[in-house]
Amino acid sequence: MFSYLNFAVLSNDSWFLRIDGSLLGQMAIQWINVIFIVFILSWLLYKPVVGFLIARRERIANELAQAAADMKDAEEKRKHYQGKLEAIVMEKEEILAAARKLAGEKEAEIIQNANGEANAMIERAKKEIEREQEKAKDEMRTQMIQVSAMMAEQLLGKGMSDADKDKILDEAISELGDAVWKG
Amino acid sequence: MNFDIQEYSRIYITDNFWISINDTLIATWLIGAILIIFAIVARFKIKKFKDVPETRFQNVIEALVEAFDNMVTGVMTRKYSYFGAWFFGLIMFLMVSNISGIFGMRPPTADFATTFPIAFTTVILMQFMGIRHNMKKGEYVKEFFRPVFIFMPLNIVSDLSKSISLSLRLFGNMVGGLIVMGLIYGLFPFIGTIGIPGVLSLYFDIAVGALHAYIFVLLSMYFIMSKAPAQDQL
Repeated sequence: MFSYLNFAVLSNDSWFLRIDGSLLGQMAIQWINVIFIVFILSWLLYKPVVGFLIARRERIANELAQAAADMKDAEEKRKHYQGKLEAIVMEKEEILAAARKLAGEKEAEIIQNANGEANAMIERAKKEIEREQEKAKDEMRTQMIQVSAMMAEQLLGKGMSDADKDKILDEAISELGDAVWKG
Repeated sequence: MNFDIQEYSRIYITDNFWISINDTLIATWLIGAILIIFAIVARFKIKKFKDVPETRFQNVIEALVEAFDNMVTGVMTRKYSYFGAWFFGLIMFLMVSNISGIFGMRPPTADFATTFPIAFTTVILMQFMGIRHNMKKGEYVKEFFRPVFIFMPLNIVSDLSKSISLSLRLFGNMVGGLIVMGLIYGLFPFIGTIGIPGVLSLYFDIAVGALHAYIFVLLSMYFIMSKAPAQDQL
């Protein structure tokens, strides 16, 4: 029955739609042809491209997730460093305040010391002035005594004793008064 | 004017059963060879694909596959998108077959021997879908006895008839286009076949061909999805 497997003959037959014993064979051959072509296209083209697209989609999704995680991490770090920065600023303010306070105290102390020193200097100057006044008084007294004695000697034509000279001098000084010396 | 399928040789298996070497078979092999060469070339180029497309080829392939994948997902949902592997190859074969008329070939889809096996595969896939995904509580079997058990033969015929309706729709349209274009070319003298028939060929060969490939695949998807569990159907 199946003895003519390789028996091929030339034919010049033609048809538009033929339903006979050969149709089933043609359908079977076409079915195998189509399935083979579809399998090859699917295997070589569709699946690799879909695989590539899925892999790329997953890669992009992973990268987006990674970027979101990085962003979250960066935000946390930013907050962390922001807190540190604020603490540093506060610390700086505290240091500055302490420094200002210390400087104020130093300033007050220096001013106080300076005032004390100035007062001491004024005091010393006043004492110096007093000493100078006393010294000037003594010198003036001596000179007046000498002048008065010379004048008295010339007027009286005689010499005066030291007791007389002192007496005359004291009287003259008391008449002049302190205002005259200061002026 | 001859619109028949020309037979060139016969390979006898029995006295009454033979394989015919004819226009359809030769065109199918030719189209298959072209598609397979394209797929092999594409396969090598896919290996060089970058995440951000750098070549026009990558853009075209991505757009083609992504558009088709979206269509499959839209009709069959992501859960059943694995059927896309079959339908992608099928739509490419049907597209190229349907428009092969412009290259002077007799489209393989203008032969019932080509369209029926493809349509019958859809019926097989319908049953596969029903058995694999809708067998819980015997839903797949119960469907054949709805609305009442006496409708069972009609339901079986209804399923089987889908292969007839799908195959005859594609076959009829392709043969129709073939005849119309043959008549148009026959109307003009040789010099007149350069202009107007070419424009009409754009419609009858390319537009109708692409449209019917799309319709065939879309209807096949809907038929297969009709056997999916009710909650998965859109």
